[in-house]
Amino acid sequence: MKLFEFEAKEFFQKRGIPVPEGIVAETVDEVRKAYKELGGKVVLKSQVLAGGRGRGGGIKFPKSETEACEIAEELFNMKINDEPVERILVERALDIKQEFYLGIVTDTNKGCPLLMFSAEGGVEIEELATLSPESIKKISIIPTYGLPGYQLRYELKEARVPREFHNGIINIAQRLYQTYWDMDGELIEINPLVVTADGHILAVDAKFNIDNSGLYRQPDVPRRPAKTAEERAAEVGLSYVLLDGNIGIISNGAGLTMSAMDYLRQEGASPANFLDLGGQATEAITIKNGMNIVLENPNVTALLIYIFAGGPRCDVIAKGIVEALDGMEKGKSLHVPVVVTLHGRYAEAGMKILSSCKSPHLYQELEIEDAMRKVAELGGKPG
Amino acid sequence: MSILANKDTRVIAQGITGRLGSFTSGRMIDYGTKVVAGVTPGKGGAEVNGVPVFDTLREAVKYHPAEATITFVPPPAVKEAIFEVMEEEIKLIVVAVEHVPVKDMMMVYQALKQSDIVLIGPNSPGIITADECSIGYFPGDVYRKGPVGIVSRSGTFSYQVADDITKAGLGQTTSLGIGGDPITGVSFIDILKLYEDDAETKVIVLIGEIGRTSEEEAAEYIQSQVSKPVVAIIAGRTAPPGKTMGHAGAIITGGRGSYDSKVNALEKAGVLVAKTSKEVAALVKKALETI
Repeated sequence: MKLFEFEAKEFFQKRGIPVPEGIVAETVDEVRKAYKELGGKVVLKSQVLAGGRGRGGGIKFPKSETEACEIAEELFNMKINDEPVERILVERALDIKQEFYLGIVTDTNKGCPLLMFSAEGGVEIEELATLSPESIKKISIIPTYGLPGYQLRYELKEARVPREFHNGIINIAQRLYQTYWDMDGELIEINPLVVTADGHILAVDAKFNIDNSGLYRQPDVPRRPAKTAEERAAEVGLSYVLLDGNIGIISNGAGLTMSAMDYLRQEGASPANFLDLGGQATEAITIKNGMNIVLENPNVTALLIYIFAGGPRCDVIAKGIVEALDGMEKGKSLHVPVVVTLHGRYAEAGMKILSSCKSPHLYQELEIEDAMRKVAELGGKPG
Repeated sequence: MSILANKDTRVIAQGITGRLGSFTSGRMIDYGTKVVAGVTPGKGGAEVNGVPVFDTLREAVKYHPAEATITFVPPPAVKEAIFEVMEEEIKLIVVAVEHVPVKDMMMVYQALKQSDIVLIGPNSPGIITADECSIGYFPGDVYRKGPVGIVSRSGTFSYQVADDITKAGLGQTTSLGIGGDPITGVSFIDILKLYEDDAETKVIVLIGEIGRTSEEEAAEYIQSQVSKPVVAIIAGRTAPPGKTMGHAGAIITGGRGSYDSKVNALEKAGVLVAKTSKEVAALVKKALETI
């Protein structure tokens, strides 16, 4: 789960990582008030979760109160990567002398946290990794030891960071690591970490992603109501990703679902989504939820259901499919063909149940290849 | 022969009284697996599927020594369940459950480095040795004894591949899933090494996914250390970058872990890469004919 910059900064402040003075505004009038309260000289930062906010025009430096209000108006009406701007963080602008990059990510290959530092801050780390990979200093952290200050000091010397800033940066890095560790962080990043003209070190930006599997023990992390179809699917235990094609896909297990996408592409068709019921989808309601979410997408012209049952049983899944189809036929809400192919445990029993279904939209195929061809043919290929 | 588990492997099921635990352990027993005991704190003295339940693993082991455990405990309890197994020095742990906090796995990973215990998972279908034993979710009917060793990152996709291999008139020694989570125990390399040394395994099938770099590392290992033919398939050829496809581990970021990078590395190592599960079976057949 991603946090907004202002949320991340609240946690930073609580944990002693200095951030610029700022006020969160939800209306133009609140921006005006914040502008005055901070005494002019501010920066307006759109609060969105998507990356590329600076380049997308989401960060502005107004020269007057009137201009601040005009910009705020503009930002509140803007979408950055399809995400509406609902809040603006009004922050005191700083006189910046030097910028660094400081971040911690979970290194899945080594199974431990990895600290990254670069004296060339302000650029996105992916970009930095291509532009000047040698500038990125890395320290693998052993969780039981924490982040040893001396290790970072070696790297700061190596990176030619002036000595008077070493202690300040190490202090912030250790607090940052502890925040990441205590709060089940997946990624925590300060970019840029700045030194101001008067020698203060502050986190000017903040990125903080939390491991979804650890959220249950993080009561301080704000919960957000599910808005997108992806979020609503996650609430009922489904993994859904919207794609730009027209063939809806429902499958069980991430690998199998991806393989169905690959297969469809091979047939020249274009998947409208990825929907993984989970390897252990055992209840009829799961498949009904899945069908509802996929068919919500107006671009879907045909639906493929491809199940390989390991733990769960095909007959249970088939019952769910039939119930969902009957319900939709009754409500006259089903307008696209549904192609089903069942494999694994109780596949025959499942197919029998499907055969008894009276929905004219249902097609059943024994072979995967035939199911792929059929759904591609019925749904049509992209223009 | 086979790897890691066979008909003599005695298994203890942690969290056996839960819905998933009782259901899956029952199916394991049906397959012929020796499930000797179960553990659920507070439920000692009970019986599930004819198997005695104990409050602690220590007590279970005292009366019913075992070579392996499978864990069905809720995600927040997985870390402790693994440490408990380590303490009893049982050498094989299967963690089938998903949504284990990554932080917990970092602590487990660190402890594993100091031990010779094999951890399969989390978020793994488990391990099956055809016609001998299944420690996990596998649809047993799909598997037949044969010369193919399977190692996979996904669960259901590996059932599909195994099914196609069986339908092609072949069969498997062992099949196991290393798990789809960001941090997992055994790696492709650990398993490749075991198959290379297993006399009955003639061809190895590697089922990968986009994301992480485990397939690239496996390719490097295959090039220098594996003499047996390897057939691979990677799911997610058409997945867009930056989106998590179901498994937390299946995401392409900053060019790393892409389909092309994996296939290039594998092909360079002499691995035959298939595009569909049926093609895997066909390539395996061809490889067997040329041995």
